[in-house]
Amino acid sequence: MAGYKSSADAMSAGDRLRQMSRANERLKDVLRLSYQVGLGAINASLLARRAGTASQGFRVAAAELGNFSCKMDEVMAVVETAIFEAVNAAAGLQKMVRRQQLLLLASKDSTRERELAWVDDSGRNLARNVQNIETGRVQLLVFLNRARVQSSTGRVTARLARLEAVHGGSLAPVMGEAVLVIEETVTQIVEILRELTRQFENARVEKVRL
Amino acid sequence: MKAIETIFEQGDHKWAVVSRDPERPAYVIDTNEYLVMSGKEMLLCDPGGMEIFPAVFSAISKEFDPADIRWLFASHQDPDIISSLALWLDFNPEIRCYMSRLWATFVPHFGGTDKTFIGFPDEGQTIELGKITLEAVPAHYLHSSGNFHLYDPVAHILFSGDIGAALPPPGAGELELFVKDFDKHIRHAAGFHKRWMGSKEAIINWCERVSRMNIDMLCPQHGAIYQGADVMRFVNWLSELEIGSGIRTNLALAGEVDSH
Repeated sequence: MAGYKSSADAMSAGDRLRQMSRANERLKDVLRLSYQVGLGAINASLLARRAGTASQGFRVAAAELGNFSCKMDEVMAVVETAIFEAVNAAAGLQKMVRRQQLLLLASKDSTRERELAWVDDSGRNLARNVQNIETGRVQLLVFLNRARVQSSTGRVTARLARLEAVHGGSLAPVMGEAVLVIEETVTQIVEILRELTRQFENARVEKVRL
Repeated sequence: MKAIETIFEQGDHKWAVVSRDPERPAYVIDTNEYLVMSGKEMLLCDPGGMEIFPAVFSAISKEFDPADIRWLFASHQDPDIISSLALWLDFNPEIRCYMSRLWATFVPHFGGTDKTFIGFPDEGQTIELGKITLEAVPAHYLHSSGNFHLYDPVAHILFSGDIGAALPPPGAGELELFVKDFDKHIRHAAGFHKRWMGSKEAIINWCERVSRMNIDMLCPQHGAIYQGADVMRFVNWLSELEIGSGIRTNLALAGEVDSH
């Protein structure tokens, strides 16, 4: 039956859980960086206010960075929920695989219909679970892509802000430094999200090794 | 869904609890799992049964990295304590499990190899975790013949396994993390202790031992955490409880004695 047959190219449930757990930790890094971007955007807005009318362009860019930070929070909240569900599903899969292993072991030489039916039922549940995990993976990829597009836009905004910072008079170096930090932080976010997207693109689940 | 809450924090020394699950199926007893951290090293107390492994694992993942869990501590051998062992080992085969030496050949029926287990001698021992030292405190016959609790002398926390357990009836809505009203709470602990604790001598020994400890939080595996003055209130209550008396109810049901 598809979904739970023993296969050398299939991933074990333990491997899957470790993979999800590592991805979850990387997403926590993104959340921490996003928080820093939010603080950086507030700082940029305050600097724009201090610099006065000469830095009108910087003020607009700083406001956009603030908007970006809010939108990033929203999209990351969705990703966070999706990865939590993915971790939970991977841990559930491990439990079901263990149960299936025990049932297969117990019914190894059995020809009794009832025992074989138990194994089949459990196998069907397992296959359904694998399908659900695959659906979750595809959905997570959509959310990750959304977050990646969002963060790429944020990086462009930070670059524009850096260009505008030169009009900040005596505050220009401070403003430039402030948005450079934001740009670097957003770049890190983009890179982590790209790495995670690649990882999930290659993590298609069709069957799990018993 | 289970949730995780930090109950003690001093730098990188933390205690967190994966608390009870209001959505759990009624046929599975509700449990608390406690995570002790020092730096990047973590120990998980009574990791729970196989059935709740996904809920425990994902709750921990929300705040912490499960890959940092190096040690499990099993207060005793029951399925709600340690039957998830094989699943934790599937995730990280390097995890080691502390428990009474009495159970070191029984618990492998749940999983593990000869390298997995570290058996405590009856008198207990210390456990080094990162920069802190924990103490495995003997609590034999409470309720298992090889039973340990875990004390953190810096956090002043005693993980007390089944001692202090309270089981509010389903739907009672009493799912607070900490005991709020001792008198109300203890009604749900009485039946459990009368039935599950079989030795008055062991109870007195434990109460004397615990009375000498500096404890801010007494953390049971089932039910709410006792804090502050409620800790000694509980110890005094337990020392006076007529335990093992659950037998009378059984005999009465069988018509052999009058329960009154």
